[in-house]
Amino acid sequence: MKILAKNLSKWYGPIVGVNNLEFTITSGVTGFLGPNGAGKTTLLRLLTGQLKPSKGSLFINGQKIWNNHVILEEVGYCTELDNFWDYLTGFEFVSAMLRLHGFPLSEAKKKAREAVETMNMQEFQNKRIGSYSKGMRQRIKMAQAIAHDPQLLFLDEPLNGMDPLGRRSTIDLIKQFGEQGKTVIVSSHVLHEVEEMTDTILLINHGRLLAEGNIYEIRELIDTHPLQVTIICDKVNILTSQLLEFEDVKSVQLNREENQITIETISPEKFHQRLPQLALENNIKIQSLWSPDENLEAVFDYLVR
Amino acid sequence: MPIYKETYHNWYGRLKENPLTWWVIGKTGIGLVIGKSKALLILLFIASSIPFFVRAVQIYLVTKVGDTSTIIQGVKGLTIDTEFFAGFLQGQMFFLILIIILTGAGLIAQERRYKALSVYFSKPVSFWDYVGGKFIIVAFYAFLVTLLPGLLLFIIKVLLSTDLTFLKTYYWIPFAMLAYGVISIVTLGGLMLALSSAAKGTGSAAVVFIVILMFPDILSKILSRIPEVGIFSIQSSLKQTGAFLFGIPKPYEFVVYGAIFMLMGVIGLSFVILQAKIKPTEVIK
Repeated sequence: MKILAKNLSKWYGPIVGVNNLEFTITSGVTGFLGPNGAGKTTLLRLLTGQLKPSKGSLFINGQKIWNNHVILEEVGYCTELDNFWDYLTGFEFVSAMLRLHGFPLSEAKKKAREAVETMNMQEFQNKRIGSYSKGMRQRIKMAQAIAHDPQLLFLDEPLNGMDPLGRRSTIDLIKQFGEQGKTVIVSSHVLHEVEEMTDTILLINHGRLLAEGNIYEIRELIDTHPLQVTIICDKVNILTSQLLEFEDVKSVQLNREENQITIETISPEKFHQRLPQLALENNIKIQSLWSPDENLEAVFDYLVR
Repeated sequence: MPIYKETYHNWYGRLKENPLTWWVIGKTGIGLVIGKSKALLILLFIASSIPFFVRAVQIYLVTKVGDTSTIIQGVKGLTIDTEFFAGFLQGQMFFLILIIILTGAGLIAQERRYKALSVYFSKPVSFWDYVGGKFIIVAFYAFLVTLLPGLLLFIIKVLLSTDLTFLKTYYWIPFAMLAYGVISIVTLGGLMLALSSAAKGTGSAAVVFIVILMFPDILSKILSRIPEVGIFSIQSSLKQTGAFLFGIPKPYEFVVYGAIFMLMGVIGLSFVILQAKIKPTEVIK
């Protein structure tokens, strides 16, 4: 399913929630990032039809979202809030939510059972939500979000409070949904977890869209911060002297003890093209090469902080 | 590892409207209310059924034993007519108020407190589905203490009668009961839901509901020299409207249309409050 935002704005009196957003989200997993107060929750609420845009419009598969509850048939939403229906058991909660989607009782129960199993909650399904830990609540919320097999999933901080095993299986599940062609939007502030799920992000701050697309492509576009490349090789002195001759290489840090050099380049593409040739010509054995700031954390840092 | 195409994954499914979402909300809620307040509900139903059994015995004695009865004082001379059924329904008003408080005060207040509305409205649930579903819960229990016993009494009378004279004369009583019951349930149930949506908790919704019912009632009794004040009492207006529907002498001096107008106003105001308060998310400015 395709989500399209056009000049989307939402303000609460004088406070701007989101400001003039334009983006397209298609199938796969998209990370929805931003610091606290950036407008992530406002945007999620707009996307799930819970808030009316002050200006502009939002479409899912060409259909407007606001006041169109039928489109929510295909939407699964795992809210960040977890204080609700404490008196229901986990299973009752998931099957009641399925009934709201129009499933007959027997089918709702069957699907609820499947969703509960998917989230590894069988053992606790007949206990009241009130007695659940934060992680269990999170898993049961995920279960209700995925139970009706939606094509579009909005997950607001889905890994909050989960134990490491739960996190791992949920990350795998989210990736699996993306691979199946579902559109999954994950809002989180835990960057490394988002990075494990996807390379595609939507980064907002102060209600404005800062970046949209692949993390590595976005990183390349950030020309105010040269890309760092760390190399471990056998002839660090030779490589350092050679690299310093390149115009795009802005600095080289040498660590002789570990045979490691870290350079900063303003043209990563050119650099990566030339490096193999350079290594061949000088008979340099490169053991490893990585970019310490070519990741989500760095992109987030450079654009937001 | 499968290879997925890099283009858009198209979805060819069909979206469908589910016309019975309100019923799902209502049915689930009816069950939940029993689960939460079982003991109080049973107690209330036992108490509310006492007048029913008394009236049923009266019907039996009057119909089967007739004027020859000297078993119970007062049965002699009692007639089973419109006033008998109207009196029963009006007498059940006390239980109707109690059951509406018990089942309706927390219905929306608790969900707003838990911020659960955003979970509802992230599902294919409209405002009408939600309000309709919640109203069904209140109306179901209200029906059990008012209309159901009222209609049963009428059926008992018809079944005990040896001929069709009673049915031919009073065939319209069930319709009057239905109209009176619906007006009472919609007015009081709607008001309770509106207060539940506006209040911060179950207790405060219940207290405000009682104050709204009691205060104008007390005021109208204090200012009894000005009969028009009675219009502002929901209970008095309901009684006056009931008397009009059953065609029995009016208990108050104010005009019936004023009472009907008042009740419509309460229903309208309740609706406005519900619309203003039932929103998926609360925006804190």
